[in-house]
Amino acid sequence: MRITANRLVRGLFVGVLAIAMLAPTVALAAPAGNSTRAAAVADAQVQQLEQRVINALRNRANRFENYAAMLERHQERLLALCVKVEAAGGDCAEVREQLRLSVETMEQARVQEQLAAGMFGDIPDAGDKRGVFSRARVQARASVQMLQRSRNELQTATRALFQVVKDLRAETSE
Amino acid sequence: MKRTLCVLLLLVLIAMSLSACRQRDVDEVDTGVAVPEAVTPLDSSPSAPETTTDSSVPTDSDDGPLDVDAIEKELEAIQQELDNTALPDDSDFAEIEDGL
Repeated sequence: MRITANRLVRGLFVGVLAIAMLAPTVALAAPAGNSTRAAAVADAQVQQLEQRVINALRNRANRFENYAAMLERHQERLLALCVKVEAAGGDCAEVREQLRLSVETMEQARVQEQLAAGMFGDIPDAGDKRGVFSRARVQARASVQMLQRSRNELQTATRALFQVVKDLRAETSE
Repeated sequence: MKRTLCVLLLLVLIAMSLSACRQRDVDEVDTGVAVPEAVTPLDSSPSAPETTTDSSVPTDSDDGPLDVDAIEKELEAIQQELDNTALPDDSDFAEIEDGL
């Protein structure tokens, strides 16, 4: 009877000791597992966002460059027409000035667009992703405004050349 | 007997395949071109700028006298394209905004 009691006490003691040693380990291990899973999820989200940024910037660059190429094509053509019109006696000073402004503004638009692209590229690693996105979008809008200004200057140049040609026609018919 | 026949058959097959290989080598030397295994598609070039200028619009040639009519029509076409081509906008970044 006494031996059994001793055994029971010893068994109980070993059990308590085992629980006391294992409990902290289990308690520490559980949150570590959760944090690893959370980190993996966060990594996947960042990668997904990076891919979205890459896609968006690629599409945007295509649209921007297509528009810029259209403007540059017309700038060059107007310049070539100026040479011809001047050879025939027309005055293209205003046309040339507007073309110069249009080209200059176009260059500024490209610089602004590069800045915007860099800001969008920073989004995946940023803490305040929405804030960085908003600022990048404002920057991108500024670059489009420059593009628009370049277009307006080119339109002014076109109208000016039109007037020069009209005057030349009137002079010739007189 | 069977074993001998098998060995003979194997030798004939080896001889035939060797002669076929030699013939192919000779063909390649004659033409100077290896037989193509597969035709690889041309790499797609970067997208060219979209142009909406009507090709029927007469353009003033760089030689000869000034063709005022042609220049006027060309200027009208340029003006039209400038008016009608849409600028890039915020929709380009919708994909990013959706992922935030």
